[in-house]
Amino acid sequence: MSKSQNKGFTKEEELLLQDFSRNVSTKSSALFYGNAFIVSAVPIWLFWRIHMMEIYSSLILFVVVTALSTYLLAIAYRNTKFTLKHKIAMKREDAVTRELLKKLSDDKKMSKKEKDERILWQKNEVADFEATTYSIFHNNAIFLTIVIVASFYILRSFSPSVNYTLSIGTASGLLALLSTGTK
Amino acid sequence: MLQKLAILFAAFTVAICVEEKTGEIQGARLLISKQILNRYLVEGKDIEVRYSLHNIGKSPAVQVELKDNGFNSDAFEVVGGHLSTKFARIPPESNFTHVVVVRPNKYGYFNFSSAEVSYKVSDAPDAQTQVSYSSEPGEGGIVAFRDYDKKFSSHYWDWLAFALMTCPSLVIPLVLWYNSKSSYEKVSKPSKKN
Amino acid sequence: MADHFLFSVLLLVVFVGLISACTNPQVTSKSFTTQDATIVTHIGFISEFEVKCSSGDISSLYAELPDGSIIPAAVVGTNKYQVSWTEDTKTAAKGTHKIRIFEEDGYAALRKVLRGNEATSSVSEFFNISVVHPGAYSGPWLRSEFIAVIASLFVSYFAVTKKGKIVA
Repeated sequence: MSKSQNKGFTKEEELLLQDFSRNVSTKSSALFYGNAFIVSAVPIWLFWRIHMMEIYSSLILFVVVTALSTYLLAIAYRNTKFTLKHKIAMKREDAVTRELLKKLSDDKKMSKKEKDERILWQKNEVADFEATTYSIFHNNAIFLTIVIVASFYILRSFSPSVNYTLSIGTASGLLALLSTGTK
Repeated sequence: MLQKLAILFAAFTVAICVEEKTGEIQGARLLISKQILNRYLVEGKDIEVRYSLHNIGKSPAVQVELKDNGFNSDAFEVVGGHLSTKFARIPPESNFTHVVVVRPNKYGYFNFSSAEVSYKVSDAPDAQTQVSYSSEPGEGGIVAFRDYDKKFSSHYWDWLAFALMTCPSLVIPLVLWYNSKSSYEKVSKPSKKN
Repeated sequence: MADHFLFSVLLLVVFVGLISACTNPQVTSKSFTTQDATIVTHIGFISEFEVKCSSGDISSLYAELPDGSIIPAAVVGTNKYQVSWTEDTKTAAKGTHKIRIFEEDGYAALRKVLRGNEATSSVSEFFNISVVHPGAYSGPWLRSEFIAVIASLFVSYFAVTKKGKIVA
């Protein structure tokens, strides 16, 4: 893949490439990591208040596990989004086309090709947005459920530190693993 | 403790048998077991003490005095029952219980010691007075009320706070997604529009 | 020889008892039961009562417990007595427990009745005392984490089914 070949790609092809790659833009990445961090950090409240974990003595553990969980959750977000994006894009094709055509119908200067490109781009954006938000919601919900079930029912008799590590680790690990499956 | 009692009992039996070769009735023998019926010992909450008295002898135990000096009044408050009691007559080969409820007002380790019992071994006016001790529950840790409360209280408020904290991470993505979804679904179903 | 002596002593005791039996007992009682069942394995029932006689003295008292056993009442002061027992927290019944108190004669009658394997209800009691047990607290009705789990399962179920609809 020489650089000259990259220049040869049209915007359309670039978009298609983006579509099929699992890479996300930095904006998405920041969104993912930010959300993952918040959701990974919130259960610390539960462990501090209900399982009586001392914050100062377990600080290192908290930091390490939160960082690991953030990373794994971000992977889960990314993969889930990828799975959803195509399906959403297909569903939104009609609606986006209709909406944009209506909007650009007065604009005679734009060529059909440009309009098509715009439609494609808009479709991509919408699908991206919906897939991102839904992926975050879906993974957060399941993450919290697994953490609650694991730490209050399954791992109840274990020491709080082990409880914390295993429940958060399992939840985020499981999500990351399941998200790589094709559904 | 039970082993000690058993040895004591055996020694007395031998002594009595040697004494009463003619096969006369054995004197009263009281075995007292003192038990703490608590799962947790918590400062300011009830501690149940149960004294089970067994008269295994063939004579009634008369003028029985049960005294427990193990709960001194500055560390324990008696809320039910009495620590010093008397029984006029305990029939032979019978058993029953005596319950006292105390509340500790300090926390820490506490050694539950034996109670003392003295009784006359039979109805006869010249019967000898016997002094014996109950079993010893041993050492127990009385937990401070704050720690007990933290561990066993309901935590409803903590859960509520948790729910509030997780709300944004769940609700905001859902709402954003739903808005986008419903607006585009409306566009693709023009029959709904006027 | 000893038997004769014992017999005459007993006779004297009975005689003395008959002469000065208690009449018209006035009973004031208070009861105590443990009410926090989360920290104990058995519920303790304690009844303390004081008996005042219009005339005569009381001989020793015996109590019939709810489970049918006859026990001597503990003397904790002049004319003050205590009757106490324990029941397992799971089987302890709420409400009023009636305890029948007997004097020496009543106790002797009870022993005879028990030997003949008859019901003890045929012997009339000296008086009754009641122990009221308002019930013991054995933990919160609905555990908070149960509610939390149900709520989170609900949300997850919703999330997964919606995803299924998108992907379909």
